Amino acid sequence: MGELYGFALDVHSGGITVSNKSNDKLALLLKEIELPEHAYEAAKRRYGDLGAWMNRDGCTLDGLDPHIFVQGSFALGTAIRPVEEGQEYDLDLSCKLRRGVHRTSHTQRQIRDMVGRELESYRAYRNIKEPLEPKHRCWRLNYQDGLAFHMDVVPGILSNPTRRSELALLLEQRGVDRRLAEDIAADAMWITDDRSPQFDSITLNWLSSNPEGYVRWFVSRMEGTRRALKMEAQVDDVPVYRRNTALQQAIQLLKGHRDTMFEHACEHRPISVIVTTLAAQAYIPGESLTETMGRVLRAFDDFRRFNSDIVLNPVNPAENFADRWKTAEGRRHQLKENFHRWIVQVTADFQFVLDQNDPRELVKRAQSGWKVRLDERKVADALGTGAGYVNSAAPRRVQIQSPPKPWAGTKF
Amino acid sequence: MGGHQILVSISSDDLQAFLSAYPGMSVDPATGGPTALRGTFAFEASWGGVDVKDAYELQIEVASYPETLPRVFETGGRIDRKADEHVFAECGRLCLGSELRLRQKIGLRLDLLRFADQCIVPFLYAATRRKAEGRFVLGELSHGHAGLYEDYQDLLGVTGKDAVLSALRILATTRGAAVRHPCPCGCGKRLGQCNFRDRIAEIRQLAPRKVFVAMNKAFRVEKVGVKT
Repeated sequence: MGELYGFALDVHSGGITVSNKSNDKLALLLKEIELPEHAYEAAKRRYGDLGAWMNRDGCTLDGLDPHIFVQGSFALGTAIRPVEEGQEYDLDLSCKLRRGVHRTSHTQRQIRDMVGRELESYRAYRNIKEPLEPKHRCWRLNYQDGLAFHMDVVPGILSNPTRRSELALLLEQRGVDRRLAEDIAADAMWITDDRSPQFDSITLNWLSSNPEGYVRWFVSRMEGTRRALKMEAQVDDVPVYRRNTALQQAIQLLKGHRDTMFEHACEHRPISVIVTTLAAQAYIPGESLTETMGRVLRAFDDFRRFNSDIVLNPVNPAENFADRWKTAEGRRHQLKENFHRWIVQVTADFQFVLDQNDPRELVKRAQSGWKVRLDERKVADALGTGAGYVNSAAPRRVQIQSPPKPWAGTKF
Repeated sequence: MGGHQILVSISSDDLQAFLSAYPGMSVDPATGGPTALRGTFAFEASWGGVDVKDAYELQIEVASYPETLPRVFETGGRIDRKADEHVFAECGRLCLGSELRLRQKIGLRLDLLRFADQCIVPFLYAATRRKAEGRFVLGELSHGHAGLYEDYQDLLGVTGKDAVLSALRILATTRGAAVRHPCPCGCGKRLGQCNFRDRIAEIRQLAPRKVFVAMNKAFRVEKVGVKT
C-alpha cells in the first residue's frame, strides 16, 4: 500500500478484517472529536428558548411569522469539539420572517434592527451579561451557562414566489429531483449585509441564502431523496444531527484534522461548507466509514488534480463557495494552495492511520493530526494485537549512489 | 536566460509523493514564508553493502527554487551543532554538500522526494554510521572554501583553484561574453573554441545566471574558509 490508492484496496478486496480494524481505528478517533450529546441538547434548548421568545404574545415580530432554526454544522450533525479546550462553540441560527415583509416593503437595515430589538429584549429577559454584538450578516449573542456558546443569529425574510420558482427550475435543470427541488426552493431566503451599498434603501439587491434547503440537500445525499422530502419527514424522526451516518462521521474527522492543521493559521483554513459539500457529493449511502473516507479523499484529490476553482452551492447554483479564493484577500491567505495542501496532508494522515498497526504510532499520529489523546491500551485492544507490536509501515528504502559529500562553510 | 521555471512553492503533487514516501513528516499551512515540513524522517539505506535503518526529527524549509536551496535542520538533538558534524553551529542547519553539487543532484526542477532520497538520506546515513565508526564513510569535504575547491574541481573537471575561479566567473557572465574568456580547462584556447564549453553549458542549465553571479561573488569576498 503506502499510497492514496490503498483505500481502493479496502473498498474492493472485501478484506473484512482489515476493514473492521480500520473502522475501529477511525471510531476511536471519532469518539474524541464528536460533540457530546449534551452539547446538542444544550444547543436545542437554546434555540428552542429563543424561538419561544420570538413567538410569544406581544412580540414585536408578531404577525411576521418569525421562524428560528439552527443551521450549519449543528443542523447537519457535523459539529465537532473545539480543538482548544474551553474554546466557544458556534451555534448558527437564522431568524426568518415569513409573512408581511418583502424586499419592496423594508430595507435590510430595518429587518436587521427589527430582529435585533427582539434579541436585545431576549438578552434582558435571560440576563445575558455581554452586549448584543452586530456582525456583517448576523447578531452575536454570547450566552454562558455552563457550556460556552455564542449564538450567531442571521436575520432574513422568506424569498418571493418568483425567485422560489426560478430556483426550483434551476435546481431541477441540474438534475435535482423535482419535488426535492421545490422543497429546497420553498425555504430560500433573503438576508441582510451591512456592507451592501443599498443597506439603507429599498432594493431588490439582497443576498440570497438557504440554510434549510442546504440541510435538505445534505439529507438527500445522506439518505436518498425520499427521506429528504417534506412530506416524508416524520415528526418523530430521529433528528438529522443524531443519525450518525458515515458521511457525518467522515466530515467530523476531516474537520477535526483541518482545525488541528490550521490551529495557528485560522484565516488560511478551508471553509467547512466546501469540505461538507464535496464530501456529500462523493458519498454513497450504506458504505462503511473507511470506505466513505477513501471515497471522499479520492474525490478531494480529483478536485485538487483537476485544479478546479469552483464549488457550487448545491441549493443555489449561482453561488460559488470558492469565490473568495480569487479575491485579493483569498490570494493573500493562499486559500486554494492551502486547500490543496490540506488535501495532501489529511490523505497522508488517514493513509498512515489505516496502514499502521503499532498502537504507539497511532497514538502519536492521533495527537499530531487531530490533537487527540488516545489511550495506548485501548488502541491495542481495538487492534487485538496483544503484546509484541509490529511497526507495519516499512520505512523508505534508498540505495545510495554517488552521494554529495557533507561540507561545512561559514555560509552558502 | 529563460527556460527556468520559478517555483513559488512545491507543487501539491510533489508534496504528495514526498509525504507518501516519508509518512512521518507533515507539511505546515501556507502562510507566506517558505514551505515548512516537519516530523520524523524514517529511512533505510544501504551503501557498500552496509544497511542502516534510522529515523531523525527534521525540519525542512523550501523557498522558491532555483533561487534558494532547501534548508534542512535536525531538531531532535542527535547531531551536534558543529562544523565537524557538518552542521551550522548558529542555526542547526545541515551542510548537506556544496551548493553546486546539491544543485546538480536536484536538477532543473526541485522534486522534494528526489532531494530527500539523494541529498538528505546520504547525510543521515553517514551521521548514523559516524556515531558507531567515528568517521564519515561517504567522505566529507574540507571546511570552508578549501572544501568547495575540492568539490568543484571534481565537478567541473578542472585542476587548480584558478581554474575553478575562472569557471565560476564564466558562469556568472552572459553566454555571449563568456565565449571570449580564456578556457578554464587549461587548453590555452578561448572557451568558444574548446569543447569545455559544453560542460559549462550543462552547468548553466542548473540555475539562472544570478545564482552563479552570487556564487562567484561569495567566492571572491571570502578568500579563506573559517573552521568553526
